[in-house]
Amino acid sequence: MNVTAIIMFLAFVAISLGITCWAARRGTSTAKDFYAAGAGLKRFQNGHAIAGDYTSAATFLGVTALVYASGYDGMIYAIGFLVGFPMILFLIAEPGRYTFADVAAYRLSEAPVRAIAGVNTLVIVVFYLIAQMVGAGKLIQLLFGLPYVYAVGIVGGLMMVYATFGGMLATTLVQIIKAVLLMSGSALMSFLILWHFGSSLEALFREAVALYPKAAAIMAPGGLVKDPISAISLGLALIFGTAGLPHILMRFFTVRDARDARTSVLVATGFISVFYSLLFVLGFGAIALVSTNPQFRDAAGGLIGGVNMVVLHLADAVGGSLLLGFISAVAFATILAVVSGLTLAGASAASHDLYARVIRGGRGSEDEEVLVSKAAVVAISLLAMGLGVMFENQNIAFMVGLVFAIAASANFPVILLSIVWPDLTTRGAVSGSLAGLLSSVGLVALSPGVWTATLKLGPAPFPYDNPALVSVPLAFAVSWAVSVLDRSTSAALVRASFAAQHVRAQTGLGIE
Amino acid sequence: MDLQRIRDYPAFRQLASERTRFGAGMSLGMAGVYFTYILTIAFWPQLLGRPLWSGTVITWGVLIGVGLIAFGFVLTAVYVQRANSPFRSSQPTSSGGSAMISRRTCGVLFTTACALLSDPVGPIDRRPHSARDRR
Repeated sequence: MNVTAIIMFLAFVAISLGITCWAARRGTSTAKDFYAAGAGLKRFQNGHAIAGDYTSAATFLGVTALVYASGYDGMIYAIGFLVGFPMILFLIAEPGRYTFADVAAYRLSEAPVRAIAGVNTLVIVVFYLIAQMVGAGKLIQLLFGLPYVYAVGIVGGLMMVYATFGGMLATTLVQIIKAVLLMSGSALMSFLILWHFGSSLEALFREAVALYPKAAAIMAPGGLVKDPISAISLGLALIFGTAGLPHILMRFFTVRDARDARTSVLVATGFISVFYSLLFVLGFGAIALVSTNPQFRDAAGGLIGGVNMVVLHLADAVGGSLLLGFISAVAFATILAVVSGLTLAGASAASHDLYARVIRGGRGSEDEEVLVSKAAVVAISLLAMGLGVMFENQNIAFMVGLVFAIAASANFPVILLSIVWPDLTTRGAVSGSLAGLLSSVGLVALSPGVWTATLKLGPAPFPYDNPALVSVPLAFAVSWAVSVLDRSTSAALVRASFAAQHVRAQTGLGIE
Repeated sequence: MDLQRIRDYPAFRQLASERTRFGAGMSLGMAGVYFTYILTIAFWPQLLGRPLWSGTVITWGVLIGVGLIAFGFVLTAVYVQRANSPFRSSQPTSSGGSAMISRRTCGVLFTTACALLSDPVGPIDRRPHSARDRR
């Protein structure tokens, strides 16, 4: 138990709960307020909120842990996470509303596309939540010395409170505060690390190379991504996965107009670029300062709390318990804000896409919709808690890589085709998306990381960890083939309406 | 509003094709550079393991990695700058032959003008759907 750290930590959690109460009083009564914060956020705020969504605990804890364990290969993840970001802006950010279902459903028949999009969103949200739950659970376990299961329970409970009562406005406010704090925390730690090495990156890297078991190998790829197929597959998943992440897409539409949306993306990209570059310094700093320090080892010689917690030990090593408390609080707030953003995206898929438009055919009342989304928040949280316990020892950045693979397979091909290809039909979109979803989730389940390491079922039937190289092309191929073969009258109508979609997408007409 | 008339409007056609080409070009640029990097990792990882100069432990991989992150930011900045600046059309307009239309963005104002031109009733109907349906 570290009292200073715990006081810092509790203060922060209290402040963010206060914000939630305030936001709840200001009103999350209409569906639009609940999901999109009334579309009235300022662009700079929104930029920070996007950055906040994107700099999740999985990246902060996970990428530093990956760099610590595998050296250079952690950087491949950081770069991939970043590169996907401009791609959304260039390719698909302009047309659209709440969720990608609105983008795809504009021209295609609404019910089937919404149904599959809603399912995709829920699957992606749940998988993404696992990574965040593991991070948060480990953090609470380390800080308070609680058993892991209780820690996951606490995080899940707080996440429900946040998302149910606060809605998007509270989540956004917490994201903004957190983005600024996370950035300052990382910058401070990088500064302290470099100061320790006489402001010389060379000295820092030299020390890391000297201490690392595989020596100079940490400065080159190969520690984690061992063969060409894994490298290409990971690359595909990372660059195209971002475009399929529902909580990121949702965030693009919380500002008033396209101009503001673009400016907020620029703010966010600048922020994320600096942050990811700093993570690399933190990871190498951890090799140099944490790996040999017996203070951070448990009885068995492993890192206390697991490799995912290495950045917290680093905070302790360079700044003592005050910095440890600060970084823990920031990391925890990061997780809480990201999980509530994610949970909201899942809830919006369940209530807006599945319930209001598909089940009730657009005839449900707004009260019902808000009620369904709150029930969905509770269900999603419970599921994430259960899975979080199951995946306790997985590296969280690796798990985020898998989520990106699913998003890149299930959502990205259909979103892209619906925007650029006039001949995409409803059947093509639904079957392509389904093919992407099933193949990516199926191959992830059969991969060494899940089949062997988590489920302990012996040698994995599918030899690669990341499925994107198979599942992304498969989704494109199925969409294309089914669309081309679709000779129904509705298919002809869909093809004919591309021109209207094109005009709307280019001008913004008819977008609320 | 008459989508067909907007679509046939020369300035719209030019705007749409310029925008599509611009967006596609930027994405291809980003993806091209990124996949060059990924393929290098896949097939010639030792290339990225070379030291920047003899005697240093810092490798080309580190420099290129940070460079890629910076490249992503620069492309975004270029895109936002271009997309948020006025759209200039070289096509003559129907409103009297002045060669230039200066528009705040590729979006809202332009469409308002198009809607005014094509819809004699008034500008874009901003009322909720339910109100429109009762008309």
